[in-house]
Amino acid sequence: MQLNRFTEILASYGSQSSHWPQAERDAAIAFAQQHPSALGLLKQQESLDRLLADDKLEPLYDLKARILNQVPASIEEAAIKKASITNASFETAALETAMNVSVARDDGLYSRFLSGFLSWLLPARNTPAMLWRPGLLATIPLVVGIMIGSHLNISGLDDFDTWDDDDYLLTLTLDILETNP
Amino acid sequence: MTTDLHEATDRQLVEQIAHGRRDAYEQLLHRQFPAVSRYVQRMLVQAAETEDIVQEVFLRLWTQANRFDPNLAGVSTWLHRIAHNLCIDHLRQHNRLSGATQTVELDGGVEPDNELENTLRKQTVKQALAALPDRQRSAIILCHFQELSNVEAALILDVSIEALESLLARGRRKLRVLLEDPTCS
Repeated sequence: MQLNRFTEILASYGSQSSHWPQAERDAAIAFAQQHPSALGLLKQQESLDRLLADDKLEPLYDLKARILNQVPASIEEAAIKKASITNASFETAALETAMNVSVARDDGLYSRFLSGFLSWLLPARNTPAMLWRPGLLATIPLVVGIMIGSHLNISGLDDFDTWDDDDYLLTLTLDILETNP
Repeated sequence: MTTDLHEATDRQLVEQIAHGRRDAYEQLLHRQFPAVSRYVQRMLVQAAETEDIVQEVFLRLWTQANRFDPNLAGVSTWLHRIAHNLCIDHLRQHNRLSGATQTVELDGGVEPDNELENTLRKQTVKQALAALPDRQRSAIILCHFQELSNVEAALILDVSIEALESLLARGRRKLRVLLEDPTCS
């Protein structure tokens, strides 16, 4: 170990030998013990390390519990939850995982179709580009409604298509009036 | 089975998570949550989005466990790398939520002097860390606070060991300047 390298190690990793690179740690410790000049370099870095030790963090209360609550308790529970799942990313992802596993267990065509459809409709990663899928689903009732409406005969409309009948009745009335004044 | 999970390595737990095992997920969350959450807290200087980022890291543990490659890195390194990338993305998007611009608000003379000094000193360290460029701050957090090895930190930052040491040395030099004279940031 040379002085240059020892200085570089201290400048990068600080005064605590536990932070020094493992491959060079023993050599650096030996160097510090043998060279009096190393003590001055160590003290320079110690002051900064002491200040950094003051940086304490507040614990993130309840976050771990909240993360756990969003993960289904089991694969079966995830499958049951599917009806109540919205777009919450955790639940969607969990459902997708659960569905993939349940498909492996159940070879039924219906299950495979349902899981494939749900995975397609609610992908684990919801990006704006994926919004067309639920949008497309939402337009289906509208299109069906228009098709039904265009094919049904509504009696009220037929009354307006009988002008010829009205003309005929009017002419007949006038003829009767002329022949029987 | 529970005993097995307690004795399982992190890598074995990730393998179980990839098969949808919630109990394995819970065990690994219990092990890795403290370190990952501390890293994110320091990177974002306790921004409001800290909890969202931590949550996203562990969401990816659940959804992307099958992508973990034990030949490339350890589980802790992998999770730190996910956290690092999310933090950097967040900081870029929000043009840096810098704690350096925060001011220390003090209530008028209620606290004893030594407590006040402690509060001020802690705030000063936080402000100094926040004033560092993101990659320098990340390097210092990983090596100093998270106590990861230089190899792990270099993997997380996707740099060489030499580049990591350069980031660390520049970061520590700037920290010393900021903490000795906080006005010259």
